[in-house]
Amino acid sequence: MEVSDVRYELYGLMAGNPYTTRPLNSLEQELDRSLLLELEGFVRLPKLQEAIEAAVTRRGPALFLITGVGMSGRTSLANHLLYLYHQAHGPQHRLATHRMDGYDMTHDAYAQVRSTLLSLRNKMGLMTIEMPPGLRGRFSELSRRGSVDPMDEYDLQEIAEFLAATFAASDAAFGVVYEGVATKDLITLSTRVFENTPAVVVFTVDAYQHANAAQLTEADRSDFARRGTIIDLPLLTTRQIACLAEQRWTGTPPVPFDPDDLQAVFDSRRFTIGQALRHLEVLLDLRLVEYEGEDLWPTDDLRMSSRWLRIKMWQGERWSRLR
Amino acid sequence: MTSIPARNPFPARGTCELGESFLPHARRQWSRYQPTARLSGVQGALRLADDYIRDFGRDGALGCLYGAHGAGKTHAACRMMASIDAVDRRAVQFYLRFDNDDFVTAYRRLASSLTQDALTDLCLRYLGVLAVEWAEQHGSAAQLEEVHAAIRNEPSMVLELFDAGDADYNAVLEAQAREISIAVGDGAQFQRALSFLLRPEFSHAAYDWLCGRAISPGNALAMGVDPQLDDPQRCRYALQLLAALTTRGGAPFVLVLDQCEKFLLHDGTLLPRNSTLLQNLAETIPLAGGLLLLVCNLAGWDLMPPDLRQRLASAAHRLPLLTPHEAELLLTAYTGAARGLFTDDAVRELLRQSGGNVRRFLQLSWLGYERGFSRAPIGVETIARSVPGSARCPELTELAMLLEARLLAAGLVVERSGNGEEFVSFGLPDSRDPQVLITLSKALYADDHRFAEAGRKDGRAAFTSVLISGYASPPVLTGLSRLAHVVLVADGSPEFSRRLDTLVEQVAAALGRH
Repeated sequence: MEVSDVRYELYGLMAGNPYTTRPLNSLEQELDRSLLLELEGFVRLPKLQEAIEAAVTRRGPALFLITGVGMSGRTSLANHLLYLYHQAHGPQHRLATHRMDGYDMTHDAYAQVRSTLLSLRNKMGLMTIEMPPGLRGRFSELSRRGSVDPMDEYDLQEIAEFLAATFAASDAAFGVVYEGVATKDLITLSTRVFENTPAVVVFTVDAYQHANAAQLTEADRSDFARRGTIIDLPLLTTRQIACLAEQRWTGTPPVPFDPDDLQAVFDSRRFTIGQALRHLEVLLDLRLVEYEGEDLWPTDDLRMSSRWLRIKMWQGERWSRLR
Repeated sequence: MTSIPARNPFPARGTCELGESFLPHARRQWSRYQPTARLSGVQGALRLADDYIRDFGRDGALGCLYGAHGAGKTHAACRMMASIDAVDRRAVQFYLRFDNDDFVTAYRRLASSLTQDALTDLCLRYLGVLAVEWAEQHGSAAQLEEVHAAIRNEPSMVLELFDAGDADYNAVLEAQAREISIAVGDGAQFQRALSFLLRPEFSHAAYDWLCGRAISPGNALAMGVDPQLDDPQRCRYALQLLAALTTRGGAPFVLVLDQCEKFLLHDGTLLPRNSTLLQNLAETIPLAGGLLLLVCNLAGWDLMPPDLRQRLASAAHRLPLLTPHEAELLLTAYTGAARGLFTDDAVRELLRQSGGNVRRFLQLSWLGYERGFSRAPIGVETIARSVPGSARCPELTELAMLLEARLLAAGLVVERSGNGEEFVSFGLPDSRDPQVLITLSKALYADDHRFAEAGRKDGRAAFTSVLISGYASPPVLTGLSRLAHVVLVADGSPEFSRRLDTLVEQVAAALGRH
């Protein structure tokens, strides 16, 4: 048996390591919907659902602003909000989405909103939604008017409303995700452009201080809070990490991590949800490769004892400082 | 034994010729083919480079070379750059020769000598260092040493480190923002430009922007920067940023600013704005771990504001006139093994006619070779005949006549004494009881007895002056200037003629007071 052969089946894990971390996509992956966990207040899904339903009812925009550091779950939550918005319209409804991530982000807010609208125009074609002649004319003008000769924001607003009405006539809507917003101008402009549009718009802002991350002041935040919902993704508490270990478990019960032991070893430093998952993922693999027996879980040698956890965490720290 | 070089070994124009784009390749070629004598200026510059390299990572360095036109300042600076290349091939070195007081244009010329690939490489290396530091602090990359080596070897590997989640890109940018804000004011736009330099669709625009060129309004909006770096302050920031990028990435950074007098002075008056800018660079480049070498002529040095001169104090190196020994070194550097190309007297004549100026010395050597190589060793007459009429320095007798004529024209009574061979003295109003004593001497090559004689200060004279034909070696000049009120070396230049007029005025004033 190779050292790297990890026998997940011993834990009854048929789909591999349950703590593997990746951005969840609730909109497209049914499985991911159940993986977006509330974790005792990490996110408050009912409140978000409420905000979406209210927006749908008043035929206005559902605006969200997510802030957090790397691996704090910004992308997963943004995708989940699209999914919730889609759900709120019923199963026959279609949702067109436009995403811009950090690689597409620039400091030119107009150029990005213009790209968003033109991209949604193209999606109409793909969804075989017919373009009314009036809207076609407006889009031709928008195509011509680059950043050097920008259209007025109320003209953009008119296009957005016209577009949303056309989507709605075909029982469809659209959602926009701006990830890693570089300038708060983008938030200001798109909030204006979509202020009367029935659509979901999600901004994620990296909670870092550098010149390519929008720096939001308290005034910016309270201004946004009047129109939409702000979600700050925190580092996890030790209780939330224990919760995560338990709720992500898909193998044979019980969960091999003891909640109290986990809380004790994760107490020295705080982690994002992504970092916590990475630790759990590695711990599980280590436990499995160190186990030479054949007995299935639950068995004592596959349990992550408090001492074993402490040694592994300590070793991890030591290894990473080897140089 | 005399062996004559088959070709004229001297540069016809006597100058250190190099273009603005003194790139590593050009520097290597230059240093391979350009003879160098270890004159005092070269030694000073090389010492500066050695100290900088020795303390690299702890301290930056600051130096200044100043001296007359043709004293070998540029040559010394270039030799210094070549010596740094030899120690560290990754060194980023800029040579800039000011030709006016416009810093923005100068910056644009300078920055363009760094290619986009080179700038991108610097930017990635810097990110790599920051990423490894971040990983060290956060214990995330298990094989840090390997990772670091990989990034050193191939800087773009740092992007993989980010993609793999081994370093948090945003956290590294945060550290970069902190460092940039220390290195430069207005750091946000510079940080954006550096980030966009790594994005294919904007890399050219970001490079152009950092080089001070105008970019399209669309690109400027997208990058979140002004359309162009167009004021001196921000061009200075850009230089400071380059210094910080380079040294943090682990490579030496050298900036040589030549002909600073053209930048500092406009019609002979100091430009305060430019002197402040140089002073700022003198503070910030060493702070960013770089080496800044200012090069200027005597006028530039004299008019430099006191606080800048004070800042440069211990780092300033004045390039003196050639001593007879250095003249030999210089000839050996150019003729190599071929000794005895010139007779000893010819070398003295070269010194006298050149006034000890390296450039003129080499020009005259070139002329001497052209005229006399078939009859080597080349003698003093050949040298004397080689000097163009307009550039000849006056012989002792000519000098005496010249001075006498000027004094008489000013209505001053003068009495001549002295042997006429080596010295001529003018006593005013007469030689027995002079109130003013002017001694004229042949060239003074070494610290010999004639020096004390020439500088003899008559206890009764209220004003004494010494005029020397052509050349006095630096120690002699220093000694004389302690003995006489005014010491002038006659080289036949308009400048000398003006000084002679001033001397006559001083003499008249001295007599008038008694």
